[in-house]
Amino acid sequence: MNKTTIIVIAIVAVIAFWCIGAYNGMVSVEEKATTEWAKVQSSYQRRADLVPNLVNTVKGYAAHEKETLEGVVAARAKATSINVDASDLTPEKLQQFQAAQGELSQALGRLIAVGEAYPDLKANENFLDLQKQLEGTENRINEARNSFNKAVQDYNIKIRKFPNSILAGIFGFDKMAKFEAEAGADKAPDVKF
Amino acid sequence: MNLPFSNKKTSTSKGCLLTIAIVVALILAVGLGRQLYGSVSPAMLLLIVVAVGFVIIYLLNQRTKNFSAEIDSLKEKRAELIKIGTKYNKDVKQLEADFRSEKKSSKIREDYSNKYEQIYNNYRAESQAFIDQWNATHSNEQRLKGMWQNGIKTCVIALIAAGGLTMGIKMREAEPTGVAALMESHMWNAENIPMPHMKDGTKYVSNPDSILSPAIVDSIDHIMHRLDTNLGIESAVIVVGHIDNEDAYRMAQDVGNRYGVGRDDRGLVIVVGYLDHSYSFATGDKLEADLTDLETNHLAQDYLIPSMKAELPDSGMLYLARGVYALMEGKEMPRMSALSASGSDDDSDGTSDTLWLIIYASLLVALLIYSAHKSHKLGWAGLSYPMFIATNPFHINEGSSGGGSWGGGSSHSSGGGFSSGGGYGGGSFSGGGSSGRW
Repeated sequence: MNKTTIIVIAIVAVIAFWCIGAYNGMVSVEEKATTEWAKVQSSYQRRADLVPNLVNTVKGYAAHEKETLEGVVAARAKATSINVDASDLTPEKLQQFQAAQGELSQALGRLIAVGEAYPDLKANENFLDLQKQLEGTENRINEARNSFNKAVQDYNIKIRKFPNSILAGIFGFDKMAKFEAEAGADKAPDVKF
Repeated sequence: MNLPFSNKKTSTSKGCLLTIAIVVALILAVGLGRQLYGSVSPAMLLLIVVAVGFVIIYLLNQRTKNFSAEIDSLKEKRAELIKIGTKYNKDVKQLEADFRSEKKSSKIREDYSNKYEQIYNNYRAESQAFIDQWNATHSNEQRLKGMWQNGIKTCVIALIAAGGLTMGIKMREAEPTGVAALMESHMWNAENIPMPHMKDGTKYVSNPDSILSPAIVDSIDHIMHRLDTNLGIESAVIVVGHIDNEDAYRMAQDVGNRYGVGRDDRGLVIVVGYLDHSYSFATGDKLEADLTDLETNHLAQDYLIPSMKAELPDSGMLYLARGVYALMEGKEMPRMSALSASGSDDDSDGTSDTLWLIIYASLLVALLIYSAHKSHKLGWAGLSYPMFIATNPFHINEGSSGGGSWGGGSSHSSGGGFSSGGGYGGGSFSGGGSSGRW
């Protein structure tokens, strides 16, 4: 074996080792991002599971708030109907998902506001417990979204950096979308008494 | 009131000095207790005082043995003194009988009263001469008597001082750090909060602003250590004055994730911003099922918030820790009535202020009883108080002044004779738990 052949083999080996390392690194960060996405979905599902109980409790005290109640049920149905696969996390699909969940958040906000107008409901222990659970679920959603965004950021940085970007293009590691702040989320809510 | 041994001036000044000594000892002890806070435990103090008391009384008893012959002779003299008193009482009774047979008039009553005074003065002179003669010839015995008196007085003052010292320590323990000092304290967050568990595996409480007393921190550490070893729940309890952005939730989550509180994701972080009036529970990912948001909320509502509103952080945190343990162990939860009754009075060994007070009062009573018993046994009490002396039955009440003496001179009123390594398990937190304000 001549010297040139040895050098070529050495270079190929180095490149092969680098490719394996880089590929495995990208798989790891992708896997982390998809795991975080699963947590996001599970948190939203947890919230959706609370809705029926919440609606039934409010219905017991404020049955004539039909519009609000129906709004929550419809928003829940819409939110649960949108399932985004981790391997297909495009900005459009994520935006669609976020919009549907945002609608449910607003509908739930209106439902909780209804409770304020009914003292008996407001004092109902079951309603208070559900509110507390909802608050905990919203916290989990926030944490899951933040963790997901962080994981996606790490993934995107990894696949866009040179020379990883070459391998990412070859093996189909596409850029993932992150959650964006919802419109108006940067403004403090206007509370009137 | 007539006193058989009119050593009034001396006894009054001695009494005043003793009172002043006790008051000064008490004040110094309370002040010293507050200064020594943290370095002297009440139990240790009690042990020292009792040991010193025993040594004093033992030495005095040993010394008394050398005077047994004199004490025997003193007992004989005491019997003679009693005879003098008995004779006096008989004379007074005879006088009373004579008076009853007389025609009653204020003049006759006055005469009888004068006769009584005569008998009384005779008795007093005879008794005093007897005692003076005894004292003059038995100086050693007098010295021993003085030593017993001083020994007992020392024990009494030591007991009162130790009681005061204990109360001082307790007051210091109960006293939260000044609000003014806390106002200038750090704004704590997950990055700058000290985590004692990282250095010592048995410490779980971070109390950088000293809002909790050391005894309570020890108690909570103990409970959390049991929670860790018995139930596999690793925890961090953080009590500070102010939290960055008043966001207890953020801090609890960040502490949990930053330090990895909880093995197998079974971690619990409790953060309380005492001056922010905020709290948060963060439960590890796998603990959420066992300790739900609702349960943490109920724990806060039942134990933490009422105590914090009453500005009893020690009580709130201690009962919260107990509540968490009881809940996770599946046992009956501590009741709020118990909380409000004992509150911050609990210390590391579970002894309350009342119990300390009872212990010291009992020791004091026991010492006084022993002193009286010893005094009686050695005959000194008899020498001072031969018996009950009949009062003037013919005395005409003038205003509020009373009748005769009951033999109670005050000159001898105080009696005659007598870890492991630190670090968390790497748990993760995803927003579980509950938060709130009070």
